[in-house]
Amino acid sequence: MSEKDADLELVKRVQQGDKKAFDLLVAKYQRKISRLLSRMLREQSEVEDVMQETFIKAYRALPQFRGESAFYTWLYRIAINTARNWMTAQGRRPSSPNPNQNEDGETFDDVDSLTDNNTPESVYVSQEIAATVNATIEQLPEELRTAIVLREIEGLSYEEIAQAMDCPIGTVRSRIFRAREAIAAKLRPLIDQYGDRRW
Amino acid sequence: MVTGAGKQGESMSDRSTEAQSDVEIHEESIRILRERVCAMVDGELDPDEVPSTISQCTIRDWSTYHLIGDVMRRSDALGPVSTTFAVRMSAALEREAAHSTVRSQATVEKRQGHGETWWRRWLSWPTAAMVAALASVVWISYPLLETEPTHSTTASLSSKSTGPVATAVLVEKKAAEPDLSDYADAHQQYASPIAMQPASSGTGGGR
Repeated sequence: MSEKDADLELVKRVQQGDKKAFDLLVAKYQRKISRLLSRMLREQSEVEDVMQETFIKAYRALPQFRGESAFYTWLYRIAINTARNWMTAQGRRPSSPNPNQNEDGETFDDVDSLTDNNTPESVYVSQEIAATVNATIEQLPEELRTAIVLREIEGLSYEEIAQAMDCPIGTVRSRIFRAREAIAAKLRPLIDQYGDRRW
Repeated sequence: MVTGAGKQGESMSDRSTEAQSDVEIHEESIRILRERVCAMVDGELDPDEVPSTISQCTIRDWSTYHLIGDVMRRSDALGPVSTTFAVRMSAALEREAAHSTVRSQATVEKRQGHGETWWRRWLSWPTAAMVAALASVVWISYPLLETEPTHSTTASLSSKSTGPVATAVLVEKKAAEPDLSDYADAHQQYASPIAMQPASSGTGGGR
């Protein structure tokens, strides 16, 4: 199942009235949307307001979402439009539309050229988290490391990983879980430590 | 002989074992749930298990697994988010209506609309076809039943109908020019079915 299909499964659950499924979509995409918005908006304090508005707009519009485009490209479009409307309301000139942007809104070169409001602290925490993840991956047993890399970096399905590693799909599932759990065990104290701050 | 203190010790030991067992069961259930969440992150969970996993999983586990993937792929694509955002977002979402009622109403309306269209189609096509067939039969059989059409009959037919003018004119000519009667008889028999075509097409075109 592709990323798009996995999201669509959650979207269907939301459309059937399951709000928890939307919480999962928010949790999945909040950092990416935050990154996008932090490059469009001048003040970091505005980012979460606009992000909240983005997710609420997306939630309200979800019954009309038919899955013709990927959920995240649809969400990105809503985020960009919400940020532009916000800037207009604040009397600021929104960024001009990007002629290179495709109809799914997957290219965001105009956004990348705008300001980046990451604070030194948030950059530090992000780097520390990245270092922890990478260090833990290095320490994983070879079969766990291969499984997680094939999944996360190469984007292979469990079936494809099973073929590549010549083992049952159940073993792939177990190896990926063990790898993630090993990394998560190192991350949880960090997340708890920085939990009360924006990172 | 088992003393009171010994019994108490055994009882405490049993409780301790039970508690340890409960902890193990709890940890095992968490491990199973996390493994499902992990598979759901990859879109590899059995669809039948998705609803129960969504309801039981913690946002924290889900977020952490996604964070690992995001960091492995491209750490600079992530932006900072405060933990208060999740609380604010949850509260804002709580104020929104669930979609199921809106959706089911829309589905009902759509189905009703679909039903109307379906019945309208079901009724209109045979009706149009029957009218067209009846008109064709009348148009074909009427001239054939009239063995020797008179001028008045033909005129009446041509005035009542919106049929082909050429046929009416030809029959009128037949009456006026007896020399051409054989030709007109033969021509009328072959011309009628062909002359019907526009009439049938006209009926069909009105559907």
